[in-house]
Amino acid sequence: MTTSPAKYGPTKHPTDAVLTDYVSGSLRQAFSAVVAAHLEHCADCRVAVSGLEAIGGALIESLPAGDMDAERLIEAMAALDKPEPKRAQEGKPTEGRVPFGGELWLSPGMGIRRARRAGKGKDLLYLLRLPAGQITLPHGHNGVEFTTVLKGAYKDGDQIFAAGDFCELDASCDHQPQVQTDGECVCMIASERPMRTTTRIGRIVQALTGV
Amino acid sequence: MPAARRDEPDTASLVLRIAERQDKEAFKALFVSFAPRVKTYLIRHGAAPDRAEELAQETLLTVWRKATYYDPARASVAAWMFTIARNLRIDTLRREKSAVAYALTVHEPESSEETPHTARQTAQEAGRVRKAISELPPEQLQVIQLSFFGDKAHAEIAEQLCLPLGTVKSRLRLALARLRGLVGDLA
Repeated sequence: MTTSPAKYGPTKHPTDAVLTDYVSGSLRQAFSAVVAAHLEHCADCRVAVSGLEAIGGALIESLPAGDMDAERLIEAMAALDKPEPKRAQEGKPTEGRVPFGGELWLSPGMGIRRARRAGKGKDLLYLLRLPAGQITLPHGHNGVEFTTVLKGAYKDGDQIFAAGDFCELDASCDHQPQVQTDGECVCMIASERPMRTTTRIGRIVQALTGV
Repeated sequence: MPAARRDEPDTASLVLRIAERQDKEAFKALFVSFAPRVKTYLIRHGAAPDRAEELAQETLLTVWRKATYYDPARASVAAWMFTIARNLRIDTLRREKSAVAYALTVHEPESSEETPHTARQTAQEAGRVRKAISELPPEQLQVIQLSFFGDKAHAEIAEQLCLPLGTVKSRLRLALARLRGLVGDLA
C-alpha cells in the first residue's frame, strides 16, 4: 500500500495526546487508521506507542480487582482444550487492509479512493491522489482532520509534508496545499465532517466525492 | 498498591509455560491475577458487569491461544494483556473493526534496534512505571486515567472536566514526561 519508509524517517509526528488516544482505543476508526499509516513509516512513534502500552499495562495492574464469579475460571479451564470458536470476522485482524471503496477519478492521474463511512457517525476515510504540482482548491475544515502522506510530498504554507509525515488540522484552519513538482502525492485522510469549500468548483467536486 | 509487589518475571514465565507446554496451572495463576483487574478496566469503559466478566474471560483465553506470540523482551505481560483487552473491547463493545489491531499486525516483526531489552529489563521497567504512576500528582493521574480508562478522546475529557483542552494536553504532557525514560522514548 505504501512506498518503502523514508531513509531518515518522517519529521512530522502525532502529538502525545493523539498517540495516547490511539493506544487507549478512544480514537475513532478512521482516525486510528491514519495514525497507523504514520506508524508504518515511523520507528520513533512505534517506540512511543510501546511505551504508552506499557503505561496502559501498569494502570491495569494498579486497578482494584473486581469480583469475579468463580464459575468464570471453571468455564475458562474447560474451554482450554476446545478449538477456538469461530466468530464471524470478529476480532480477526484486518491484515493491513482498510475498507476502501472504489476509486473515483477526477482527471488523469488525479483521483480519490473513497472509503466507506468508517463506523458510526460522519467520519470519512479516503486516499487522495494528486499529480505533481497540483494546487488544491482552497478549503477549510469543519472538524478535525488527520493526514498521513503515503507517497510524494506537498507544501502547506511554509511547511513541506513528505512520505510518512503526519498532519493534524482543526476547524480553525483554512489552507491551500500544493503538491511538490517532482512527483504525484498520495495521502490517507480522515476527516470528521465534510470540508468547507469556498469555491463553486469545490462544491461540485465535493458533491461528486462525498469529501 | 499490592500489584506493585507482584514479582513481574513470574508473570512472564507463566505465559512462557503456557507457550512451551500448555501448562494449565500457569493459566490458572494468570487468570486469578489478571482477570479481575481486566474486568475492572472494562467496567471503567462502561461495560455491564456480566459483559465485563465475559470479556475478561475472553482476554485470558486469548492469552492461552496466543501465548507463543508473546515476547517478554518486547512487552510486560500487563502491557500485552492491556492491548488484548483493548482490542476485544473495541471489537465487541463498539462493533467496529479495530484499526488498532490492524496496526499491531502490521508491526509484528521489528528490527532488533527497536527491541534492545531483555525480559528482565522489561519487567523492571514495568515495576518502575507502576511506581511512577502511583507518585503522579492527582491532577495528572486523573488525566492519565481518564485517557486510558474513559473511552474518551482528549477533547471530550476536557469537556468532562470543564477544563480548556490546552490544560488537559499539558497535564498529559507533564505526566508522560515523568514516565518518559522509564519506558523507552515516549515522544
